[in-house]
Amino acid sequence: MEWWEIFGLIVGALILLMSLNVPVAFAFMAINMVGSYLIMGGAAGIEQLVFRTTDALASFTLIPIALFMIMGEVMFHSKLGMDLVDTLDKWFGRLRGRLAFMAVGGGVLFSTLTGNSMGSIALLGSALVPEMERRGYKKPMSLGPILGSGGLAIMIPPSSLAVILGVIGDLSIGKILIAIILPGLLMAVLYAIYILGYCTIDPEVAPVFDVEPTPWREKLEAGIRNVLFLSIIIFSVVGVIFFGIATPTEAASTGAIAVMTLAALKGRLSFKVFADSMINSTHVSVMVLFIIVGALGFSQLLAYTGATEGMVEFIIGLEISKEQIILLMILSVILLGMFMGPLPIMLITLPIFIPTVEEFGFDAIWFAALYLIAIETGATSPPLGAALFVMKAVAPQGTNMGDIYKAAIPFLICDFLAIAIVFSFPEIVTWPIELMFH
Amino acid sequence: MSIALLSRALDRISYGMAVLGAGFLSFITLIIFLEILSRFFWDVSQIWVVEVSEYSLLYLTFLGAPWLVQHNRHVSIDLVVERFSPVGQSLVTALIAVLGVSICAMATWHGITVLLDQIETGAREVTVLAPKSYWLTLIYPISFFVMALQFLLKFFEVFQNEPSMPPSQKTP
Repeated sequence: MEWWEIFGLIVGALILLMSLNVPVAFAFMAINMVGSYLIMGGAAGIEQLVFRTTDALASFTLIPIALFMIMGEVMFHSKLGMDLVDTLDKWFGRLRGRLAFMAVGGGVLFSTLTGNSMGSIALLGSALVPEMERRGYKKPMSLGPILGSGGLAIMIPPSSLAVILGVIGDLSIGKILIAIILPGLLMAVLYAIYILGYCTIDPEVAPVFDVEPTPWREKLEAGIRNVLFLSIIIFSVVGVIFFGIATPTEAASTGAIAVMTLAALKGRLSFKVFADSMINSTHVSVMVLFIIVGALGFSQLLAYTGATEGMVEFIIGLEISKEQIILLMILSVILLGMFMGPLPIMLITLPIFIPTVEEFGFDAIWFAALYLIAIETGATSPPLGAALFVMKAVAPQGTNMGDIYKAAIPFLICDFLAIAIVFSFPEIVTWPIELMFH
Repeated sequence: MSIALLSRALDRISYGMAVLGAGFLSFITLIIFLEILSRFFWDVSQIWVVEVSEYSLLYLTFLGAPWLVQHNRHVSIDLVVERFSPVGQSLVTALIAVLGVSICAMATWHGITVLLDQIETGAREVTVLAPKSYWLTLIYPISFFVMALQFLLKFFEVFQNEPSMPPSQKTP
C-alpha cells in the first residue's frame, strides 16, 4: 500500500469514529488497537500498546499539564481569577463588546499565569461566558474571543509547549520564550481589532449595557493590588526558571503552590476550595492526558506505517522555493492540528522540520515562533482541534459543536494574519532576542 | 444484581478512584515543590522525586479515567449525532457502548497478560529506583476493567431507558 492510502485509511477511520460521538480518547484507542494488531504483529502488537501507553504517561514532561490545571482551578474556585476579571471590568468601563475585550485582556493576563491554553480557555470560559449570555452576547462574540485568547497561553511565557519545542528541536528555551512574546501580543491586538470592527458593523452581536462608573482611585487601587498579585505568580513560574532555581517542569509546582498560598492569604482557601480544585484538576488533566496518550499511540502508528514520513517528505520534496516550503511546513502543522494534539505533532514533525529550516539558512527561533502560532491555530481549528473540545466542556448547556466552529473561524483568520505578519517581518521575533541576548 | 445497584456501586468506585487520583496530584505538587526548596536552601537533591512523580502521573490518569466515563465527561463530538432521530441517537449510544466494552475488555485482557508476565519474570524498570514493572502496569487492567463495566452498563441503559446519570450532568 502507498503511504497516502494508509494515511487516508487510518485518519478516515478515526474521523468516522469521532464523528459518531465516540469519545476522542477511545476513538484513538480503537484505531491504535486495530492498527497495532494488524501492523505490529497480532496480540503482541496490543501488548506493546500496553507498554507504550504506560511509558508515555509516566513522563515528567507531561507533569506541567496537570500542575498548570491546579493554578487555573484554584484561581477559579477561590475566585482569584474573578478578582482579575473585576479589575479589568473597572478599567474597561462602558464599552461596546467590553466582555469580549475582557476575554482578550483576560487571555493575555491568564497566559502569564498558566502555560496551558486548555486551562486558560476553561477558566475564561467558565468565568465570562455565563455573564456574556446573560448580557445578550451572540455566540460568535462570546465563545470566539475566549477560544482565540485562551490560545495565547501558548504564545506568552510561561508556555509549556515552548519548553517542549525547545527540548525536541534542541533550541534555546530562553530565546524561544522571549521570541514568542511580541507575536503573542500581536495576536491579541488582531483579536481586539476584529472585535471592535464586528461590534461596529453589527452592534446586536454585543449589546451595550450600563455599568456603574468606577472612580479613578478605585481603579488604581485594584490595579496595583492585582499587579502585585500577578507579579508574585509570574515570578513563581517564569522567575524561578530564569534564575535557574527550577526547571520549567518543576516551575509548574511553584506556580501551583504560589496560587494556593495567595488564595490562603486572602482567606479564600477553605478545605472545600482545595478539594474541589484538586478533584477538578484531576478530571481535566485526565481528560487531556487520556487524549494525549491516545494521540501519541496514534502518531506512533502513523510513523510506523511510514504514512507520516511519506507526508512530510512529500511536502519537503515539492519543487518550490524555500519560503514556500516553510509556509507549507507551517500549513502542515495547522492541518495536523485539526486532527492531533500539539505534543504528537511536535514529536513527529520537529525532528525533520528544524534541521531542514537550519539547512535552508533561516533563523530556527523565528521558525519556532511561527510554529507555535501554527500549533495554536491548529488547536482551535475545526473539526478536531483540542481547544474546541475544552470550550465545549465549559460552555453553557445547549451549545453545540457547530456554534463553537462558527465562533472560532474569524479568530483563525486573525491567526493566519499573524502568521503572515511574523513571516514577512522576522524582526518581530529577532529584535527582542538581540536586545536581550547581545 | 440490578442495573441500578451496579450503577450506584460503579459510581462510588469511580468516585473513590478519582479522589485517590486527586491525592496523587497533590502528592506530585508537594514533592516537586519540596525538592526545589531542598535544592535551593540546602543544596540537596532527592533522586527519587522525578521518577516517583512520573509513576504518580500514570496512576492519577488511570484512576481518574473511569469517573469521566461514568459521567460522560470524556471529550466527544456530537455534531453529527445530534442531527439524528431519538431512535438513531439511541442506536449510536448502544454502538459506542459496545465499542467501549470491546476496547476496554481487550485492554483489560492484554493488560492482565502483560502483568502476569511481568510478575512471572520479575521484570524491573530500567531506572534509578528500578521498581518491579508490574507495580506500574497494575493500574492499567484495573482501570480498563471498571471502564468496561461502565460501558456495559451504558449499553443496558439504552434499552432500559433509565440513564444512571443524565449526559448533560457536569461538574464545574
